[in-house]
Amino acid sequence: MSGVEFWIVLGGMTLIAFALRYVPLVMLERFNLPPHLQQALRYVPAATLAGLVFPALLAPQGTWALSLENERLLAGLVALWVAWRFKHILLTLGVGMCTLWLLQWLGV
Amino acid sequence: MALNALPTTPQAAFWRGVLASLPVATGIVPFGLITGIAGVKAGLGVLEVTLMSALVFAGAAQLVALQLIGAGASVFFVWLATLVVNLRYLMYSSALAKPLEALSTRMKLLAAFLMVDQNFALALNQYGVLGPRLTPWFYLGIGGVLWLGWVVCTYLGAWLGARLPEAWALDFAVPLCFLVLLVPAVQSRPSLGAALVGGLVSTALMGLPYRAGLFIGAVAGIWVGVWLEQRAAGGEGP
Repeated sequence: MSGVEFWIVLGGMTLIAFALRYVPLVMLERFNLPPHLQQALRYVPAATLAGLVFPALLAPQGTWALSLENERLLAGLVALWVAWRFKHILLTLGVGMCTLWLLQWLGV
Repeated sequence: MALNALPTTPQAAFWRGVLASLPVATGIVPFGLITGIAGVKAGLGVLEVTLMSALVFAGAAQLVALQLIGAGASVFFVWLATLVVNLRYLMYSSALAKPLEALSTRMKLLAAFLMVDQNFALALNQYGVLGPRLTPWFYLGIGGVLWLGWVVCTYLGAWLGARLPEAWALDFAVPLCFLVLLVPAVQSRPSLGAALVGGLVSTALMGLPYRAGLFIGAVAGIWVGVWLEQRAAGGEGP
């Protein structure tokens, strides 16, 4: 990404992030989202976050890698269990990274 | 106990907010560091990533945007990602309109700028106790600390990320961060369906240009979530 392009991206991101936070706050009438949109919004986190996690684990090199030789898939599954069991950011990051390093060191 | 006494002035409410933010602020430290590292890995300079944190102040959106920038996505898709990931702020902002009503127009600009998950939740939770005069200052106290912590941690992460060797595979910390956010977002059968479909479709469409697969996957996942919810609400379905 070139210098100019970065500033365009950053300017747009700043405006978008601010407008979403500001507009409903200053609307005089109570700002109510349509019920259908509210229902759809509830699934935005699960669907988008999974869209970011799955490819990094299932296809780290850009193609499907569903095997025990895929170190990132194994480390990710261990981290998933830790995240689910303990709901702790640092612990999940630590266990996930250490598992990956261990598997790489073992040369699995 | 002075800590349990209710604040009576806006100034005291602000400092109460600062205090209340400290436990949650520790939670943003790893996210800030990873965001800094992710920025450097995406090819940005240390100052560029730090400036992004200072201006955008939205962790998940920044991490997604940095992934897209690193993958060579177009400007439009980075903006679209920022919009989609930040849509929840529409809900926060409309819910905060009443508790923050007492602020002046200028302070509302600042209040909107500092809005994040943590001060939204805490301010709404304390509104019943603190009331309309004090809640805005409590909210601003939390937001101020979190903003400062976010910018400092991003800077440290970027500084560190530029110095750590490639072999450490630190890029793997980014999906791990998303994983920590994903787990609590999956609390029902429909949201599990949304996650599985969103994740698998995104992976299957990874080869599409501009990382468009992420959006197609997200739309498919959201559709499945809504469909499962309606099916559950309608018993055995039509």
